[in-house]
Amino acid sequence: MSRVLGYLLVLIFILGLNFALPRLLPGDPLTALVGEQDLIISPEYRQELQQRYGLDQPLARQLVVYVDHLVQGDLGYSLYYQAPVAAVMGSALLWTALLCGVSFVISTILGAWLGVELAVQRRQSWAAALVGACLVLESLPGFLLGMALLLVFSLKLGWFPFFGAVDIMPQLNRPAAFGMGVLRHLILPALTLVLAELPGVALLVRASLLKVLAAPYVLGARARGLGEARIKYRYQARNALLPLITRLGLRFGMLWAMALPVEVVFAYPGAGQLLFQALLKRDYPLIQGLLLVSILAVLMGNALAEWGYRWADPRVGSQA
Amino acid sequence: MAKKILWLAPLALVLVGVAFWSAGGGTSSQQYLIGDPQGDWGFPSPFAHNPRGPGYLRVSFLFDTLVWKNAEGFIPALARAWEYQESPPAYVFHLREGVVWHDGKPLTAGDVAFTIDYLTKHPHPWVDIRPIKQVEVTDPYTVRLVLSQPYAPFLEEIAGTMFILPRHIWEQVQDPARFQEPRAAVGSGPYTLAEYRREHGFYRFAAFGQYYLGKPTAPEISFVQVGNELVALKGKAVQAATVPPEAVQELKDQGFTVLSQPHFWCLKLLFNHAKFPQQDLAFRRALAHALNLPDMVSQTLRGQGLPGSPGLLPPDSPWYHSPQTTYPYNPEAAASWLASLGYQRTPEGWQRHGQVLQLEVLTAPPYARAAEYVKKSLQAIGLKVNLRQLDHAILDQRVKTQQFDLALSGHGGLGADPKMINDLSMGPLAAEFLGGYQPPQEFIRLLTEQLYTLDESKRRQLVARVQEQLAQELPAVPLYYPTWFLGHDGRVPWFFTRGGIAKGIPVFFNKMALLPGPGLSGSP
Repeated sequence: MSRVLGYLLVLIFILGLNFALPRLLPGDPLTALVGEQDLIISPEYRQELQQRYGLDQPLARQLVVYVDHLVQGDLGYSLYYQAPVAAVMGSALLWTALLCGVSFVISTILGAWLGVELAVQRRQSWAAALVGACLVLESLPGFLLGMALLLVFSLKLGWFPFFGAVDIMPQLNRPAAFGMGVLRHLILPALTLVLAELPGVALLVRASLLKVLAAPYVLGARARGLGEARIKYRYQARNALLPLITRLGLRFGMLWAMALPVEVVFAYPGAGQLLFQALLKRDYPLIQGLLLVSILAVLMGNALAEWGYRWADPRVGSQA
Repeated sequence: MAKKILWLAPLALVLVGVAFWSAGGGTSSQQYLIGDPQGDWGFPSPFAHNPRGPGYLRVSFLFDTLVWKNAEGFIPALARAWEYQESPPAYVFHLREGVVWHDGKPLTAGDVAFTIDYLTKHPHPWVDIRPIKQVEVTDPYTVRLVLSQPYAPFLEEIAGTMFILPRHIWEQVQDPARFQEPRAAVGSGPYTLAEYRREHGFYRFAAFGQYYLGKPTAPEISFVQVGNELVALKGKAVQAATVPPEAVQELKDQGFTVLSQPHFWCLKLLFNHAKFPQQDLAFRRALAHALNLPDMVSQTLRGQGLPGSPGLLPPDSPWYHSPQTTYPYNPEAAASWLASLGYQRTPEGWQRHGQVLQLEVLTAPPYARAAEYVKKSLQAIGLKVNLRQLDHAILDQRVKTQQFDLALSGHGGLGADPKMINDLSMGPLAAEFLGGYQPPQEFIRLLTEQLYTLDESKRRQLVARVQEQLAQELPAVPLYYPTWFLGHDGRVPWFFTRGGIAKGIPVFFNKMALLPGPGLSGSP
């Protein structure tokens, strides 16, 4: 119960912060809306815009309206996209959830497996080479990796599409073709994120596994005649996964941030790119909506991590 | 190890299989895609589109105006002819008969009158209809617009920019920005809206068979968001896109058509006119002499641009005048102007009353190279300068509130009607565009006079004097006009509109290029 109360207090604090942060940004939405002096708008039109979006109201009044609308499930109206925030960010969140979800699952499973192998086979020369490769991959910026994949697999080989998340050709809008289109568009951005995320996971698992390789319970398991595979995954890896599980929530948030440049490179219509545009355009309602959802996702990730921690280490539950 | 490789093999096979299954996912010959890195520019209705140029451009495929422009100048659109009456000043537009909206209903003078009435209640960022005093519908195909006084930019600013709305659809609409149903895209333009997907920045327009100038030659035309325009064009995933100068030759070698466009965007060095010494003409002239603009173009744009004219308008503007007052690179002259303000050069910098002059130059990421060049040039004459990089929104606000010393900022629209100079030199907007510059009375008189002079040759002389005045007063230093390029597959005969589309949108995608028959584009 106290944990739920804690999460609730965090949520209230976040709502206040969520309202204040966009407004603390220098620059005003109307100047950003019409661009860098690209368009000369009359003072009358500027005033009309201010009234339309409630920007002429005092901040306290804007806060009341924001909370009131939020309680009714209304996230507001995007200043830049001239559409309800829920409609603008709904599909973007789904695309990012798909991209980040797939990358998260693949990078976690493959990364954990690779980490275990790197630790167990640490004396092999290929393992040392792979550790070096992991370090190089981890230090590469996501957009550079994405650009390289785009040039090789899309431009040179012509295997994958250049942009977007679906086939935009109307004749391909049949369900099966749509599904294939989604998959084809997903592969390169997801591969970029997996390549960017997997080394970190592998190195983390490897480091924590090295500490338990020769633990007494491993010796005990061997003495009982258990198979090497069982010892490796049930005894060693399970104990080495704790730091990884602790970082699960954080990792998902980081993956969300890493998705931004990848989404830009592949013109993938995700929430990262949308948030970037919203920040540039000082689109307060859209920033608020996206931040709120992001924060809820991270909170949820943390809750899941707590649950996962108890699963991996039953001592945590019994101590609580 | 070999076992592990065997495990990974199926995964790789799946990847390659999916890739091969996907082969042939290019665009069909029916499709014509234009790539745009920004993507979404709002729902394409006259009131819901993003107020910037690309938003307006998309709507222009769906809605028509009374007149339009091609490469040569104004051409008839919904109005087959028009005439000007002097007393009282008025324009009479004779509409084409038989024009229909996308829903098949006829377009009449009543729709034009309704549009003007609607715009008085719902201001539009692109059209200021205040010069219109009265609207008279003399018959179903004739409308007379009486003006409060002669207004030279009328055709460009109003008749050539105002989308005519279907009365039967919009008369019930109270909140036009939120009216985003398919009916809101029913216009009288050459294309109908077939599809709009916000998240993909995707606009698909289908040719309108009953268009009064003939069915467009391209059955479909679309805009779509791309991550990298050049890569998408080279991979033939799009058929047209803006390309960087360094890719021009390579694209030509690959068989693409590459067009360069007039220089209607300018990067300026802004002065804060509320501060000394920036408010002093001698200081502004000193800085102008300290900058070697041709060298700046060569170094920061690799030669792909034109050095700024102190009269603001670029050499390829229809209204360009080469000012007699110029500021060639001359560090000695710069030093002499600084000395005239009482500054003395010391090893620490230029001092006055014991204080060293220190300047901060605000800049945004796209201008990083230009900013470095400005910094080095000013340091070369002994000024102490530091750069501060900000994002556009912050930079614009700092300029608007005059919280800066010097700033680099750019704007487009330089091909538009010279009314643009009035907008950025006078009134409250001067703070945003010229750092709070207060023009002298004589300059204001010239600007006002050119706005109300209908005789084009007389107006040309006045606009020339305006540019001369700008060169003398130097409220800001125009640094350069970059050259922009369009790469495309050559299927559509794109041309550059005189002065830019509508009131100066500097892009090639004029709908007239898609219409059948000669003469509509006006291009040679």
